[in-house]
Amino acid sequence: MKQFEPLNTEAKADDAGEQTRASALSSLFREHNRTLVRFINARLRNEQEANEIAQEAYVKMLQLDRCPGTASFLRHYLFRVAENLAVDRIRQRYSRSRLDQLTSMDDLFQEALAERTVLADQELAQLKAAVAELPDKYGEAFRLIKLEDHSFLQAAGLMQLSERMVRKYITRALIYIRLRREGHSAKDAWDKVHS
Amino acid sequence: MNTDEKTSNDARLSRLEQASEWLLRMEDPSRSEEDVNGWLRWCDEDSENLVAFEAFQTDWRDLDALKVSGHADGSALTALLAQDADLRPRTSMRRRRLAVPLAWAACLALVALAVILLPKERDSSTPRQQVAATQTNRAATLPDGSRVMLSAETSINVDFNGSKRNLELSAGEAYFKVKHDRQHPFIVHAGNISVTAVGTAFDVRREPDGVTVTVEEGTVEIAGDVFAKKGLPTTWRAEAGYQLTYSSQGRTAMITNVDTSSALKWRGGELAYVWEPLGAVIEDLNRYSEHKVIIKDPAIAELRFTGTVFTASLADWVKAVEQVYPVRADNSANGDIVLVERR
Repeated sequence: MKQFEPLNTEAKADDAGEQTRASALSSLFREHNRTLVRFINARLRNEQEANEIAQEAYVKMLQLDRCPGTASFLRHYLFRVAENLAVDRIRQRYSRSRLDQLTSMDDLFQEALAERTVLADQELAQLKAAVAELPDKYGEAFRLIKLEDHSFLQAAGLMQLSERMVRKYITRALIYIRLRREGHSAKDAWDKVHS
Repeated sequence: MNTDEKTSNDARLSRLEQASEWLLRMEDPSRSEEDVNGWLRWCDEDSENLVAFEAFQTDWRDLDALKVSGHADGSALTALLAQDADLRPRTSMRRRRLAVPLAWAACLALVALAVILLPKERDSSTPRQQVAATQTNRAATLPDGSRVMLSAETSINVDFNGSKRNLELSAGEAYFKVKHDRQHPFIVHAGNISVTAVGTAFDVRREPDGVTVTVEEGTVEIAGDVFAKKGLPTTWRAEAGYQLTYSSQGRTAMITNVDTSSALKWRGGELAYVWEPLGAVIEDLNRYSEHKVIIKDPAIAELRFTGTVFTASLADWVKAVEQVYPVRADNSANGDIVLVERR
């Protein structure tokens, strides 16, 4: 066994480089964290998990042996890392839910419903009302895509419209719902969507 | 409406249109790298863009709630789900957030049972305490607010009566998160050495031939009781990220740089077993290890094992198995370990 020696001084030589990287990463974090969370949320559909993955991605970046180049490349890399982590998380989710089937129904429900957003009764009522106010084609497109999980292609087939039109109905429905949530009257919101 | 207002209204609407289109693209499971890059460029253009996107993403998630409450169709299953829908998501979210603190609290509750009060003398104000963990890891809060996590087969004696916080680790391994208190040094005695910390997090493991101290946060000072040779320092300092290995035979210490998270992996309580067939334990173990443990004689697989396996030190674990069971471990050329019956 080697005798004790004063703490290795060479280890400190890299401190300067270490700090540049840490500060590059912390500014990356400040500038892009919100975007990153949205990006992951689009995949995972869960706010909390998206935040967790964003954190994990930074930790991964900090653990890299060297700094991968310029700021824009760094961002690109960060998003790639986060995407991979999100995919892993989804895989875990699947295997976990399979496990849950074996243990208890309650766990399974929890797993399935954990991804649902928590809404106050009032908010839920407001959303329901806004969706109910959507005119025929808008409402139908919305039901097929959002509530019944059809693809745009399938919905287009069912509605005998082009895919582009279905997308248009959906984006407009979304704008209408958004404006209603922001407190615009039904008429006001509809006028704006059609302006 | 004046012209300025109209312009800003139009700008807002066109932003909403773009944001809702980007939402649909980003939520598409088959979104391409090009979509992502385009979206990032759009986000960069104006900070308000992301704000609008965030709002739509929130709406899009919230709208899932309508799915559960049976807006789409009135089938029995949907109706059934609807009954729970109002309650369940809320409780499940709450549970999720509480999961970590609850787990910690559960550990503490278990330890509360394991804490044995040993009155030292009638006049002593604070009784001496003994904290012991037998089969699996245990966490406890000490009288000063410091936290301790004990690994399997570990016990510590706690004496906080004097001006120092003295603890004695007689066997096993313990991790400490020390409450900062400069007036009362926190000292862990482990055989020939004592480890002093003011406010820090560190781990002490007793081994047959010495002690290992791993520092996770802050700095600790380690002192040996006697020194055989002249010129050797009487104390060592170890900083976060370093591990000191003390050999009781040579009364020497070596400090190395370590990855503390993997060195202290045991705290997660991974791989704790109660009366499990050794074969099953090894099967689990092999999943975490580069080198495999191979059982040559089937009878070995049937032996019962109770304890904790530290993924960080496979070799140590094998050594312990050799001591407890009628088993011999042979190293094969490729680094695998072969277990054979000892006759």
